Amino acid sequence: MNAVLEIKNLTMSYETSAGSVSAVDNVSFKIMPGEAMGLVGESGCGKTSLGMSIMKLLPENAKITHGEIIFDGEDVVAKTEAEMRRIRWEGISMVFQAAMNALNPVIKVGDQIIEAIMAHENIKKEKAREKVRALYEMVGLAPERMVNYPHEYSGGMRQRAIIAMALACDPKFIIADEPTTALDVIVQDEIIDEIVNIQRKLNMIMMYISHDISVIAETCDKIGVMYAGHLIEYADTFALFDNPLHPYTRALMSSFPSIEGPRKELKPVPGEPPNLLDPPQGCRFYPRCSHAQEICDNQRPELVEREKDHFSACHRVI
Amino acid sequence: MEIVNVEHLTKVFPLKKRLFSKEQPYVRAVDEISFTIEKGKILGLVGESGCGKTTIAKLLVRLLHPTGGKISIRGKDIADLRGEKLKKFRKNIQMIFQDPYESLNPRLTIHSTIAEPLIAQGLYSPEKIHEALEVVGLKPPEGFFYRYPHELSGGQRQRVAIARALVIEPIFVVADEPTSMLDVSIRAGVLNLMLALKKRFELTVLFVTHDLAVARYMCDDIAVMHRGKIVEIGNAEDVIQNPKHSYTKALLSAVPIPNPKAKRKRIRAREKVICI
Repeated sequence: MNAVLEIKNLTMSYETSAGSVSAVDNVSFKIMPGEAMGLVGESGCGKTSLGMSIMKLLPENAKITHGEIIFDGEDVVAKTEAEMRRIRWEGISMVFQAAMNALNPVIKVGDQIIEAIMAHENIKKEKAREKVRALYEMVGLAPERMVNYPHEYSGGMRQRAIIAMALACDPKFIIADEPTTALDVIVQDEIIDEIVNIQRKLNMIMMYISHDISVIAETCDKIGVMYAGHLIEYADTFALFDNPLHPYTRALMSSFPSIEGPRKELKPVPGEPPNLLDPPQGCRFYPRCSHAQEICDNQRPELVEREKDHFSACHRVI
Repeated sequence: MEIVNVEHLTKVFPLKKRLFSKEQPYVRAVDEISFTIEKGKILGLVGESGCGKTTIAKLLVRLLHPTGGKISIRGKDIADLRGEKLKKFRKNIQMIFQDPYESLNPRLTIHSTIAEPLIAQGLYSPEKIHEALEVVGLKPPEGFFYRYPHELSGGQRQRVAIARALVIEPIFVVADEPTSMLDVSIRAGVLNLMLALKKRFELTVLFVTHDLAVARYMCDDIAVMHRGKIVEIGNAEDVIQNPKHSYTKALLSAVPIPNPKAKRKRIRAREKVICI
């Protein structure tokens, strides 16, 4: 079976007045057909930059300096803007974090989705309207609400509309970037449920970006953990939770409170994430790591397969 | 000993009148709420956004004036305090805000930030500032004196906010989502710091959060709010392990669990969700 998405040695950086920041540094992974992959990490670790690189929606001061993004057999990095316009929505689409900003406030929500469909498919307006109606039902919105403006929707409804819009042109790959972060726990739960069901039903591949490892645990088959621009661990969800290999993944897990099981003492990770203008030479987690050795200071650990389909980037085999 | 005693606390906000309508519509943000907090205990106030939890926080520090009810802090009713008397009483209650990027004055050094409440209350001494920074783990304190908030990370800023709240030795502290803006690996450190300070100084705290897992970790008791009312209140472990009210059950069943093997049973108010 061929991977639908394969990222090879992707490196991208931002040019800032203070210097160059490599937000994504030599990251590689694959997503197989039907799979949902979760990308977890703290703010500034490069997870959104990675998502934006795949969509090629980067700001002007950002550049993909190295690597390939192979989607459906073709390298996205080499595509021109005109070609990208076809790939976005039809091939890859994205559910954005800020639902308020992703919708145009002066156009009816239904019309915005119709417009998106008609821009990509050569169909009549009535047909497109039918399609939006079906999409509304799929994401749990009453089709009668198509005639309302975004401000007449609640936060959860807006997020549902954004999901409907992302699905409008039958994409093969959906990137969900913190789709529930601004929402309340009950609404978050409903949206997550909806996303997972739709992803399975339509047999899409998905990349779910979140800072919340518990949300990822419930939505994804595979998990990639990012730290300061590096992908430091990548494995099947069960394997990762059963046996996290990288010290950062372990630290992340033990700093999360849960409502399940006995109350456990949280162990904070000492220090702060590094400044990417001047990152540590070797392992980027080295200054905060409790297992640090001399080699970690000056040599970057490669992402290697420690167990079957379980990759970790750490010099120490633990 | 009871430090905080709230009885039938109510706050209504007027809504915009409709054109040609004579009636003034209101929203009851906090509706007849009662609870107590014992000395050295943390009460967690949980609920979804818009349930009134931040309104309660603001009422307790008297940033808002209650419409009705009683708030007594160590026996003194502060619900109707005004002017000079209110200002005097303020040193007894302090608040820690959600966003450490907004709650610190960007033009004040850390030293001035912490000195401000002391000067306002006429209690200033340099040793107090030194000690306050040490207590919240910003060491060495001298290294932070002349820095500005923008030079600090989110976690360090929130530590400064905690130091500022505690430096005048309040009777009671209100913390409104103090860690929701912080990253996971930093958050645990701030939570543990607050627990350590609570133990060391026998702090009495109202801890407002939307995160049930954090509430469980931090609090002795938990009160669950829904639409301006407390629907359930009790020992934290009891509320989490054995919720009585259907809303608490629904809320708990919606919390994602960081363990892929744990299959949650979702309790839903609606079978198939259709938003009308």
